[in-house]
Amino acid sequence: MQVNKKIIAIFSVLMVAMLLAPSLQARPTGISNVETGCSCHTGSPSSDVSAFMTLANGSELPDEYNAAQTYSLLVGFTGGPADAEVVERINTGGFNLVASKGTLASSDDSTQLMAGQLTHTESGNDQTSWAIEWTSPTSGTSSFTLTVNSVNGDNQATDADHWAQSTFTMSSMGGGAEPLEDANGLTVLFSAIILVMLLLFVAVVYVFYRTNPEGFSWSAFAPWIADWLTSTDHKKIGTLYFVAGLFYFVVGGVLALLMRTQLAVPGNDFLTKDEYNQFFTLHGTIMIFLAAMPMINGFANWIVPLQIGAKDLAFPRINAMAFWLNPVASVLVMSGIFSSNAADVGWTGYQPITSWVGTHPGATMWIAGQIMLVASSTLAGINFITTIASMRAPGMGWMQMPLFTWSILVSIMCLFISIPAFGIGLVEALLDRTVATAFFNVSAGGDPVLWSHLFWYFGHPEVYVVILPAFGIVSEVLATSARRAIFGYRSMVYALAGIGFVSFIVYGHHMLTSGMSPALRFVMMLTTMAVAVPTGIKIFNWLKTMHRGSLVYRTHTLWALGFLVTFTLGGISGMFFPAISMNTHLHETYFVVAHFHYVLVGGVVFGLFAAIYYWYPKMTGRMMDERLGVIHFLIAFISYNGIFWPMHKLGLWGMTRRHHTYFLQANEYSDVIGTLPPEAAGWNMFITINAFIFGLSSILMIINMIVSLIKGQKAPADPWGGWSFEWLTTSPPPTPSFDEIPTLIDVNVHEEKEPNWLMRMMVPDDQEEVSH
Amino acid sequence: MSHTIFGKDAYNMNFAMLMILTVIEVGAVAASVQEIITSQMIIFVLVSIGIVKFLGIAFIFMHLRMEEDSNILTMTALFPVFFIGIMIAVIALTSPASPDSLPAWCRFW
Amino acid sequence: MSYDDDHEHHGSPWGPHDWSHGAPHNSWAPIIVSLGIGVFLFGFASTFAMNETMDNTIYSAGSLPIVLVGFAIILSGFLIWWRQDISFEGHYEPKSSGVPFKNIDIRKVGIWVFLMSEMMVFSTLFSTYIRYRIGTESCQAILDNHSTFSNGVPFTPGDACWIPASYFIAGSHSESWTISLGGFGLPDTLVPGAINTFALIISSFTVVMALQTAKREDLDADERSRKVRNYLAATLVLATLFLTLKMIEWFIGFNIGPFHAPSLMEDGYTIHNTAYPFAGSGHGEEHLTANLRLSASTFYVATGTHGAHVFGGMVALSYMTFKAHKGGYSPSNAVSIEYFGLYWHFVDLVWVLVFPAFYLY
Repeated sequence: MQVNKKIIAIFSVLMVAMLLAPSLQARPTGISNVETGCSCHTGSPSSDVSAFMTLANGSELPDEYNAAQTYSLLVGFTGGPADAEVVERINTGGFNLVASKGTLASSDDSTQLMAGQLTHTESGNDQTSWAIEWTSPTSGTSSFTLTVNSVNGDNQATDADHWAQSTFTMSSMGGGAEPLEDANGLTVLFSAIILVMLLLFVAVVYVFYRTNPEGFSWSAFAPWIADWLTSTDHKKIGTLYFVAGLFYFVVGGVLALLMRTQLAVPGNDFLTKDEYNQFFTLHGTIMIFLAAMPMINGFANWIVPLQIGAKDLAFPRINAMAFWLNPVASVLVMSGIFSSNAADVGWTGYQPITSWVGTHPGATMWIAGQIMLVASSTLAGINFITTIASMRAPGMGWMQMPLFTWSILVSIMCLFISIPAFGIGLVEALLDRTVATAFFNVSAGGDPVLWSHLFWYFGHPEVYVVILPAFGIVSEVLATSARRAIFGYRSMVYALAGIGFVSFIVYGHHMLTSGMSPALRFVMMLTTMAVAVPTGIKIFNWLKTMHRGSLVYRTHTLWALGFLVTFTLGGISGMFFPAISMNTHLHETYFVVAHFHYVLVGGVVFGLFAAIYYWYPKMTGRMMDERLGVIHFLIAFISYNGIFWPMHKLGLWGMTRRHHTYFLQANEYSDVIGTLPPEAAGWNMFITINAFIFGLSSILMIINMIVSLIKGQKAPADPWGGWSFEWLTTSPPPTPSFDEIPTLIDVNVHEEKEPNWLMRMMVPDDQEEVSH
Repeated sequence: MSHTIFGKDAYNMNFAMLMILTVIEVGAVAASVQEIITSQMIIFVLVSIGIVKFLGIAFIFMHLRMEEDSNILTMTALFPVFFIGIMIAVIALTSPASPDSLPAWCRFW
Repeated sequence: MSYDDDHEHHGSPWGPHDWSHGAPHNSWAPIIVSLGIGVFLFGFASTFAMNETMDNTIYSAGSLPIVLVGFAIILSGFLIWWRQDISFEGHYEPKSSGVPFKNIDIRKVGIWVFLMSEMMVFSTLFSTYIRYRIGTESCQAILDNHSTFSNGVPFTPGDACWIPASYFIAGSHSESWTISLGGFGLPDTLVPGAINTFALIISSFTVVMALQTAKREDLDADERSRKVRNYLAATLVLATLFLTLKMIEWFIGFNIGPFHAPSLMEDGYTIHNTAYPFAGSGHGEEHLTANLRLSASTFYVATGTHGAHVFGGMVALSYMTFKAHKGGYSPSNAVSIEYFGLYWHFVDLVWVLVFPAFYLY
């Protein structure tokens, strides 16, 4: 019974919170300090006094007003002691009028304006009605609070004087609905945080309940949750990273769907351009920093120590620190979105817009949050580089490391070396915004291109930071699924390292139109084209791996194959950009959007999906449902291409990035700059529909994960027939991850001595023979 | 641990060297303020003394010389040099005004 | 490597920590420190919102306590971290197992990897400095060129040009050396910087002496820990001196007997100064009304970042001094001092570059 009471208590708190959250909205800006009538008379509100408010000609006040029109109005009262003094009215009447919207004005000397409120003057004291003027606002409902005094004129403040208060309203023409009032950003932010925390709490309690439904007890809850919050175990931190990343994938995805809804038809007003700016800014930042990188870090945390045979990372507490900076930073990055004051500068934060005074205040928080993410990446970098360089199991030389570990090493290296440039750039931008230093202020001699340099010095390696782990995942998945060792292991490693090095000298292709040094532009053109070489090596090695292997079509295999197709297409469209002239033409069009989504979604996200299906049994000890997985893949792969393939065409037609809407040509002969051919509308609608299908298909995967966790089949230690170290330990692995540090013995040496060992590793569970 | 330079403790010797070099630096600046030496000379003096002090601290105090793990750690410390070189070349040494210096046939305006 | 293979063992997340079981177990420190950093940045960003307006009145003093609360939370997180660390006496010191770092302490590898990132931080600051220094014409050159930019455009009051900090600190700025130090010809304004240079070098030396002393087997434990504590405390005092002199040089200035130096603020070398009357040398009354916001920003942020590193070192040093006082550094974990020392020498190294680049040139 104890349990039930607590559940009831929690749900009551939740209900109260749900009710409170909207009412935590800020108060309307209207002022209401006229509760006691005229200050010179006490008296009491009385029903025998009635206030009226009409048009100047005496006709009734209309329900609707015309925008920005000046109305002549008549306010006054009837009844009360003033009416009795019919002979000579002296000092008998007074009023106060407050309008929530629009502007009040006095039309003669009987009225005056005091602090925005209209009231009588001394000479107006003798009347019972007053002529006034009111200029209507552009929109919204204005309510008038009219307070009137009916006085007997004896100059004594007694109960004989009466007063009354009435409210009149007028709405804008055609707009009966009350528009949303401006809210206090901080209040809304904190109510949102409270709400999210409460929902999170309920979710966590449910997870706790699911871990042990029979032995569920509240006394075990506190230690259980404390263990998650304080854990330094690489597997728990990996799970935390993973869950946080998945959560932000959903958030970023919802933002993307909102943007696509706006763009579905030309000239749409679903989102204002201000909202659109914030949404694409946060979409970019969230997807890169709060979704992709935490997911990658999650897999790296889980798999790298297992693959190299280490019991944990080198610095477990620093690892925990690197994770916990993320959720805190995400609050700062997101702050402002709830009160439409979020960063509206694009994920690149180009200067001088970011330091401009007109940019939303949320941009300051956004910069601050990213500084924390930089700190997080630096700490994670120290940890992974040190771990991989110095904690490999006996026998595991550099050239025996699995390719996923190699890819994590190279990507973390890129991140680690490049991110200080971004960090310092952010500090400079933060100081520009807060204490007004002048780094990017053109009028003080600052140079906005410096920001572009610092950002892209980091930003281009960053692109490889997210794609290289996907390369590693695909190498693992394809080799396991093809049931043979990866083709050209050494060339794969050198290609990875080559991409890592080259990434630092190609970043200028993001800035070819920024006015940077022309000589540099030429150099960057050549080096960028060189990136295709190591990438091509990798693609051909994967093809060759499948060519002489015997492919098993698991879900993760399908994702890896999908990756090959889409990433290659994305790579080919990427080859348009190094050419300076082509770049100048295509810059800021949807062609660019199509290209980088082909590599980031078709590359990184497909890679991560493959990793989810591949390593889920290892991480949870349960198998996922293959049938749902295949359905997910088919829907997602088709709708994905439906989203991004037409964008190439739209880009070539001239549809611009980062614009909240677009317009069509009147006919094929009209040539208004910036308009698109009529077909563009159809394609945009097509893209939006596909985007929703793609978004919804991800729900299949999440359902699959949750259901499998509860009632999935128990997973063996090595369900796919992989032969790297992580498959040696149980699923899920113990803590520390290996009871006994394993020793790697070279495959070729082993083949001669113990052929059975190799065969056991090579033949998958279903006992199919390896066929060459 | 106790490495020596000329028979003296390495830390003490290095410390003495750093102090003397810093005195020379400050003295050189004083001389340049009073225009005893030219501004070209002061730059030369500061750069060369800076390099010597830099190496002294790195080699002796940070143990990048004379210990068994010195070589690999020196290599580690030198790893970012390539990237720093790129940064200096591409960010520091390209001028914001460089498009202005293009020859006329290469400009739009 | 002595990992605890007992799966049931759980150390307290609040500390103190039993290191005989190996690697650290659960800890509240990471989440608390992260929260503190978030609160600190939130407070900082909501306190100041000047943007490019430079309007000093646009800041909400009400948010200032949030900054302090953030600091307090960070500190409490560190206290937990230290509480878990204080029982560490070097029995758990995993060694690297593979090439290229075979048999080197993993912590040492970690600190060197960390220093790689620090190198990139200061390279970025120097890149910013060099780019602006080269790309902005110096006020002196413009003045020499009859108030005209080198491309022939006349200088109008309020235009940006470069005045290096050395103009105020070590240069021909008339205010700064009305009375020279002991007849030596050294501008008084250079004195804080010069003393700081010596302070950092001496503090580097005291750190290595602390390491050397902690490694000595021939001393008895009490004497050794007393000496180590004294060396570390001396380092802490020198670091405090460094930051104090920096504050004097930036904001306060000094006026002691015959020695007189205005602070950089009093001289008008601020990030908001758009109209500094630059007289230069050799031009008599003629002067430029220069916007020196850019050169001031570069100077303050670059040297300020270095100062922040000194401050970070001071936070660590205060804990280490306490631990040394408790006798925590014996020959078995003297290397902890070495690893802090690596960071500290690096900060010193950066000063070796910052001092000539920003103060003298």
